[in-house]
Amino acid sequence: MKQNKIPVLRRCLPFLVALGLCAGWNAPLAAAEFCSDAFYIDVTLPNQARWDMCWEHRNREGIVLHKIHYTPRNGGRRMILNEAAIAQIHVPYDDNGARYHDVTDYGLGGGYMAQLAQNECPGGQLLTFNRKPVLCQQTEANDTAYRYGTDQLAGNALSLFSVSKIGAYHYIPVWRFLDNGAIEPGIGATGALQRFGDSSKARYGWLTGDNKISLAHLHNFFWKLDFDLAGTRSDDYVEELNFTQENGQTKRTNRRYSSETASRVAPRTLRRWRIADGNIKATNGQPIAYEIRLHQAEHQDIGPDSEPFTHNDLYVTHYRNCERFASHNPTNTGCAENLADFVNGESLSGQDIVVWPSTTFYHMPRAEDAPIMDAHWSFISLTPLDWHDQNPLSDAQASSGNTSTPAATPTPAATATPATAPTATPTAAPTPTPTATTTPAPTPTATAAPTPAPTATPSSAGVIHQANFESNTQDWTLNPEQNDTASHGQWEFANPQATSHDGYTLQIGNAYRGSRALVTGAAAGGSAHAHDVDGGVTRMRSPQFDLPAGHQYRIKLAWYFAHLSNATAADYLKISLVNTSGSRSTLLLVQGSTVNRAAQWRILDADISALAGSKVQLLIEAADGGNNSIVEAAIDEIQIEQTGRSATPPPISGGIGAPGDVLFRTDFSTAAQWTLNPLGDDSATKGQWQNAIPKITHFQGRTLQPGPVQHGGKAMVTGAAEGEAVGSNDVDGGKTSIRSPLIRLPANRRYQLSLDYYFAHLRHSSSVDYFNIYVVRQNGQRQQLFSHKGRAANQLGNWQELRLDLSGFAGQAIYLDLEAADGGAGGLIEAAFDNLRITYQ
Amino acid sequence: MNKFGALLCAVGLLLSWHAPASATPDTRCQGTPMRKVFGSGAVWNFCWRIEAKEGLVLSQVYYQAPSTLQRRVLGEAALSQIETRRDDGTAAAYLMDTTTGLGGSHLSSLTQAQCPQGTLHAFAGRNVLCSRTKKAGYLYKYTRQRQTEVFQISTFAQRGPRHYQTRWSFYENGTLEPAIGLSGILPSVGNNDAQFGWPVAANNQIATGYTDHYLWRLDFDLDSNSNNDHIEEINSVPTADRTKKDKVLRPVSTERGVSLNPDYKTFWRVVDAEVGHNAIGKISYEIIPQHYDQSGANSANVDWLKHDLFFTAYRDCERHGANNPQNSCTGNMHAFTQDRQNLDGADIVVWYKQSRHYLPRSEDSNRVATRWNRFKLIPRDWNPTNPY
Repeated sequence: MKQNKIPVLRRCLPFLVALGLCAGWNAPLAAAEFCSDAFYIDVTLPNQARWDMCWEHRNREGIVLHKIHYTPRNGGRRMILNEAAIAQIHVPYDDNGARYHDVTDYGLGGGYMAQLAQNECPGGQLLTFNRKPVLCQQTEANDTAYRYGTDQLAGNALSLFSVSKIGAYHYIPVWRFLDNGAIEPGIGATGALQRFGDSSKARYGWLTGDNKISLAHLHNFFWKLDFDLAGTRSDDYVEELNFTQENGQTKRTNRRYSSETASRVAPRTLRRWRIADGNIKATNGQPIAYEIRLHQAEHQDIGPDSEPFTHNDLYVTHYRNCERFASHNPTNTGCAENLADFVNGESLSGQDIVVWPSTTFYHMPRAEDAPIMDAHWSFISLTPLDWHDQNPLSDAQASSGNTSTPAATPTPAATATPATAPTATPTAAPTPTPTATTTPAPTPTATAAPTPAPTATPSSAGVIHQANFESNTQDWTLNPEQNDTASHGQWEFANPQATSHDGYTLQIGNAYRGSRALVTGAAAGGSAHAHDVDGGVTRMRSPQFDLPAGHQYRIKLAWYFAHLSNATAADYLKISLVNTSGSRSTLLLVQGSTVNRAAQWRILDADISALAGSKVQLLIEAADGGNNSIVEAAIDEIQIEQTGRSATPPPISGGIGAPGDVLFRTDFSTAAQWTLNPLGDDSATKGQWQNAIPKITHFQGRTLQPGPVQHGGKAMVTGAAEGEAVGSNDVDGGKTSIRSPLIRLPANRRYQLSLDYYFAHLRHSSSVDYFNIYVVRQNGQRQQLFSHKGRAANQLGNWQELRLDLSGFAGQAIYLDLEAADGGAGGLIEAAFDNLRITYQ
Repeated sequence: MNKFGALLCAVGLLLSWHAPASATPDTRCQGTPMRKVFGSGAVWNFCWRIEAKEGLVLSQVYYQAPSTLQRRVLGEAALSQIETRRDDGTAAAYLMDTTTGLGGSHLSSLTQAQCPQGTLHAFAGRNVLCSRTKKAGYLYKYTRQRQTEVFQISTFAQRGPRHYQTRWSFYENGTLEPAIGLSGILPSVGNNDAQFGWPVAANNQIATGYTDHYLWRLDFDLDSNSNNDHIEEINSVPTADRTKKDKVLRPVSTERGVSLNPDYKTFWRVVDAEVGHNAIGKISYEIIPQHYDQSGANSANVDWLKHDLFFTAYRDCERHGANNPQNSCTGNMHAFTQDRQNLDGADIVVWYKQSRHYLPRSEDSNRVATRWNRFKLIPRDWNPTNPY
């Protein structure tokens, strides 16, 4: 047996890949890498798109979302937003009798946050904060995701909403995450009207019941969206897209914002924005990006000079932690008072970018709004733009009407099938002998690669780097860039002493394993300044780790981060990998909040295969950026494992592997996802396909079943036990068939199927005996890809490699059916295949 | 057909449609009656049919809140035209409704699988309409909360590469949301000038952008008398220091086109001259547009795309907002207004234009994700208080 030391996970990997569950960066088993499980949302929608994120409760912003990741059904997981929050609800009344700043002056959280009942969250799940149900998580049907011809798919969305009551108003912040990657942030407003007047106020409102004038008002909704596309925070940029219309043409220009900018909706130039990643590009050469539209701008408002933050619709700034609110922003931390002043000409180049979109609802009351007001809704839209190479919900081939005017007749979906039928043997695979009785060709060794397949067994998995801090810590560097600002509590290698405050454990009194860990101020301390991090950031850098190309890697480490309720997001623990060019991949960022966080060892387990081919150093940072609260952090037991060769290449150029990369592979160390007799019409009475170690079978001195499989333990084999007679563990009485898991072949690429097989028979065989391979489309349509028929000659059981082109199925999801048959008089028929893989070409 | 629905419709005809002998075409139930009764007792009642050009057409649309009177909202309503223009201007505008039509053979047959949790309805022997009721979250939340539902009907039409889903959403509280969703495949790939489109991943070619102008025709016939409505424009005019807004009401008394004006928060409503409530105003429906951010799309600078709405007096031969057959009427909604007919107390038709510019993206390479264009019609003073 090979691979008997390989973890179960590794063995299952091909099947998980086939299911599209774990392709790419960061397998889902790494649960809450950024937050505790109670604040982690991880939803896979019916179409297999996955959204995961952390949520947080804040007294002002209410529910704040962090680390929002999208994983398309067939692609890698990528971060879109590091943080997404409501930044203000500004409500000026037409009579100027009130101008509310609801988020800062009241708040969406704390006592304003409503407790939800299950009947307000039908079919959904209530998430609790301090034992109060505050967030409703639902899956919503989202009508037609796409339709062309009869190819139609129903879409779905993850919806998260909370309710905050401020005065008579009830706000319903909602976030919709669609299975196609789009995000729709919205706010509903319901409850009751807040302000009324008598008939002298008629010009400021609308006559409603009880002879009252209900006063008209605006809701100016602002969001703070801290984009960190693909998880990197400093390489994003924002462009404004405008379109010049003249002479029947609509001509696009992109204008990149080089410094902080405020902008407005502009209907005549069809203005929209995109936020783009500076490094990762889709196949079309465009950066992966999100488009931002403010499509409900009918009530776009410009307020008085004293409210300059209302003078634009979208602001782009570089990240400053103390810039939280569009208006009434606290200024005691050195930030400006409102959004207009955040835009002060600072360069956006190489900065962490924050986008502040806004939209306005003008509410001229109706009689129906009293005594209770139905909810009205305002949304903005964020849409993936070249985030994927094709529609992430469809496997259809890329196609185009390519007509200047639509054809008069509908194009049925059937034309979207590949134009070129897959050729059976494009790469000089064995030419099946057409007739059995003539020309006893020596052997069907017309195979292109009869020699053992060059694929070496996957390189051994195992720990290639580790640090447990018990000794040998001299290669680690404190304050590596000589710019640390922490005045107390610098990282050290020590046996930590327990620290607690008000019953909260802030520093655990021992290492995760052994007696030493990397900790901030190991000595005990019960107050701020006492051996915890204070005054800024402390950093520790590891020695360099080499991650040779062509392998997969995971990093595992134990960590904790603890603080008291006076912490802010400026307090954090951050763990990154930095390569030799200085490019940084953040593995973990935990930020402080206004909730006590006790110390508790947690495990970070992240796939870092995307960094294969580079030399990296771990950078570990802890900061007390704000109130000199008690902030403690520790790290222990760092391991970097090589988990095997690149079976699931990390996303390159939009998420598709390089030539030679493996899309799908199985060596049948397990066959859990394979289906025997998929069509229910198998007729073999003996020797059905099984996942087993074949035993050598000879017949009259000839090896029919060769036994040891080239590539390790098990293979897929017809009747694995040895047998000396016809009917003894070989295929008899008809065919046996087995079906692969569903394999998705992304569009616009070429693919090769290769496998090792043998098909052995004695000389009374004929063409009714065969080993066939079919491709089966999801609609059930079968297409024969390969056939090796029996002949009237002895065919020994020799392993040979077969290579077949699957490019014609690009863009589709397919099964592979493999069949072996003894169609005749019960000859001794043995077949097996192994080491089946599909590679990008 | 649902016999009960047919019976109710027949009863409705007898009870409330005092159709004069010389009935104008817009007072008849045309097509198949459909009725949606919500658990609360709210009712939407209407007729639907398929026209070769417009596809789905609604007529005699009635709304009834629980424990209130049933009243007509619309005499007839349809998406009257889709005008498509390419960014590179290399082809003339294409007019979906009138060139080959969204009905007839372009209308897709539906299977039950394509109408999940819904009901199929046949027209001319084919299942072409899907109806379903969906949860729609909070109706309101205050000292108590109430969940609400929406009833939706959809038809599907394939026009070459473009696939259109025509949808009408009938909310329990009287809100009506017409919508058109565009999907299908990219209509034009393989061009040279990136300024007029976007490179998409498929073959790394330029896909040309395009703008759809959706022109809806809404023949409002509030309550029983279709000839006594008028249009009111509401502006909230900011004072010089922009701290206050003064409401200014202005009747639109003759046919004209009007444009959105966010600075004045302009909106329009269709008001009945007679029916109202003692303490408050007359019953009305308000138009809530969307996609203001692309409402300036008009690359060819044609008159009928210069305004967001046009108001006209009913004429039977004015059926399409552009490319209207000109045997007895003029050709587009701008031209319809040029004789400045009186609108005060007329049978009013509202023409609403919504423009949407489509910039292709790699995600559109094989299937264009459905992009929705919609707006709302909401009751204003239809009931003296919230009926729920």
